[in-house]
Amino acid sequence: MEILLAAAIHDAKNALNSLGVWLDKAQQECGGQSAALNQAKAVTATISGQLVELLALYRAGEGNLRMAVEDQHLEDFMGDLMAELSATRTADAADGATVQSIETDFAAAREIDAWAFDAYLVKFVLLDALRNALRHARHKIHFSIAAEPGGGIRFSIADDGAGYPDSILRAESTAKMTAESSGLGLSFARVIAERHATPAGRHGRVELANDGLGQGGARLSLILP
Amino acid sequence: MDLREKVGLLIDDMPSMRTTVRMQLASIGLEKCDQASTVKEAIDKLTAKHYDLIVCDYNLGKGTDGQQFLELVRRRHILPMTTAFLMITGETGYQQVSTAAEYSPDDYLLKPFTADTLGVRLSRIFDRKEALEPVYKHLGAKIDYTKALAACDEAIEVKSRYTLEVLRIKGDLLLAKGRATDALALYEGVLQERATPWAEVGKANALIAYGNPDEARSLLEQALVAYPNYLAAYDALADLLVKTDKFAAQQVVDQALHVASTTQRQRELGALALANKDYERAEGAFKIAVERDRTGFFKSHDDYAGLTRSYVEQDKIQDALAAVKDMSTHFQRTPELAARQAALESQVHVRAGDEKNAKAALAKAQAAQKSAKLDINTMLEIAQACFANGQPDDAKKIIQDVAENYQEDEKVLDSIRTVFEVAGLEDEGALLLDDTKKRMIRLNNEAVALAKSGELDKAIMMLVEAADRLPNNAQVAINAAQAVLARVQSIGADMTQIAQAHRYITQAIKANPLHPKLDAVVAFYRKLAPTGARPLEI
Repeated sequence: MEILLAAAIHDAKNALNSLGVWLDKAQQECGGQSAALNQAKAVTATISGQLVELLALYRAGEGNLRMAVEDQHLEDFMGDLMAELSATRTADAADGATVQSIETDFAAAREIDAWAFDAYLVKFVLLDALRNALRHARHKIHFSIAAEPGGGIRFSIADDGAGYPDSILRAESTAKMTAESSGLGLSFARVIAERHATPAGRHGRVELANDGLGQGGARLSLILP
Repeated sequence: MDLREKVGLLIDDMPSMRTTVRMQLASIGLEKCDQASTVKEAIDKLTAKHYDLIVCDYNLGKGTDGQQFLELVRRRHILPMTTAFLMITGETGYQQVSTAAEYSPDDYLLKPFTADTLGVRLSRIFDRKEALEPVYKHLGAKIDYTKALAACDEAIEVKSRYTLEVLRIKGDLLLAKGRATDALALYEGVLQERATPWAEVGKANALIAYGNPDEARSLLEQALVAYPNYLAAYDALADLLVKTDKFAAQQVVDQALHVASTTQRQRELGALALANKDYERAEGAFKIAVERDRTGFFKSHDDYAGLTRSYVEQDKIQDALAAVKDMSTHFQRTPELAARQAALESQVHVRAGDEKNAKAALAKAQAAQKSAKLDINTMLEIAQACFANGQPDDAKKIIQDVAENYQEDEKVLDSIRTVFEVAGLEDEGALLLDDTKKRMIRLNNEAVALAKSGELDKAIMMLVEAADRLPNNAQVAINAAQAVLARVQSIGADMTQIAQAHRYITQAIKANPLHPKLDAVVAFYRKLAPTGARPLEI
């Protein structure tokens, strides 16, 4: 099953990649920027990310999700992440308004220098969260990294949208989450956070709150031990 | 970063991928780029020419992969640390590469990627290579530890984004030099700032060197709970357990194989399973080792020897003979190979009760032994065949020689113990090794006593005779050099004797560059050697 599922997801990802190549070509042919094609490209990136998440969740369930925990230079990591995001970014936010920019505060990245985690998986967690924020924000998104008191690092993504619905916030406090109530991205984020651990027994976690920007905007924090 | 001056080598078995990546490299300025489609071609090119950058696909076809290639060229020192190595992988390869224990690429890139991403990553690697060049340049085949450590300290002093990387290298150097206390302090310092797997394993290795295997064991077991895919932790734990509990060690290697099934680990599992008399498991492991790699580049005579023994122990005579025969089709025909095959074949015949063919094959192996210089494992295989054929004296003669030569090499001594064990003569083996050790100590003590009582010439004669007979015994060579230098010190420099001392020190460096008494004798040489004498290269 693992092989079949992995192969199917692999094929689907390859198909999405070639779709991306065709979309690039189409954009060239219609002479530059097309909002519709940009949107289409963003959608392929989202699906591609979801496939990665799906496979990781399946593997985690089967007990063979493999993590590659290594020192990551945080400034480089943040740079790569933002480059990938802007390459596949949708133009529109909630209510059809345009999110002007993502405010970033990566000052702590330089200070912390490097941290050990699985860059590939954590990148997908953060990309998903950022895309989610882009969908729900009215105007602004704030993305920051900080040292976590007592050891660890904290990534925070806040927006000025309507905040998380109560059902999601409530579900967070109970130990068991169902995929339906949280969405794929959140389940994935929780699994990846939890799988990051230290020999001292500390684990990563995801925190959700409506204390983001504006009046009760959403904030997602990913804490890695 | 200007890539136009850099020279690259691109390795991929798929022509279409080579074309794509070649074009991407050209578009970011790296136009000087050779290509190779097989491991052999790549090694030939690497040996003939200097490259600044290797871009290698993980999947190289025919059961070989980029990680194996990287390990091979680093281990053989064909690829200097100053050359950048970028691995290109799919999602599956990424897990193998990113969890690899001993040798990792400078960076890896997941397919598909854009030329821009490639450019960013290459610039980063070259920046690091440049910044750490003062450190990397010391990490070749021959490491000058004093200089390498000094370069590390200088780099740490500057405090840059590469500090962690330098600390990691410094930790390895300290461990290699046996400076357990310093290494322990280094790793504990790192771990105070951050949790990171390499420092956990480093700390455990420092504890082992420090003589605290129990704490090391529990540390590694804890580390594996947090980092269940970190292969270096499995390797360190298996190395630790192999001395005390081979069954537990086999289990650990088995777990590591579930994370990444490499030829090296299959080989280890096979050897442990043989020692644990788990012949079925051994057969499986060695089979994978010899069957997976269809190029013959990554397997060794030892793998076939292991497979043959696994078959023999299960009385699968025909399979065993086939395995021995199979070696001819996978390896270059050398006297080494012929001797190994003959020695193995002889043992199979003994097991099958075919005395005539057993003796004939053994005679062939012994003839090869007389006419060519063979490596240790082949020598010990012949010894094993001698035991099997009821010629214990011949066997012991060979083993004696190996034991004296490799007195300080625990791995070789372990192999010797295994030969005796297989022959069912464990106690005799322990006795022989003990006697050899005592004899070598006595030789050194007698020489020192002679020197002290003023009979320096007699001492030199004894040690020089031993050093010439035992080229791989570092201790004897060091003592010989020490004695010669003592004479130089008392009666003045004489170029012949300076040259003789130089020769024995070089011999010792070759035998064991990490010998603890090496530094002292090197310093002694440098103090006494007149200007114009050959400098020592360490």
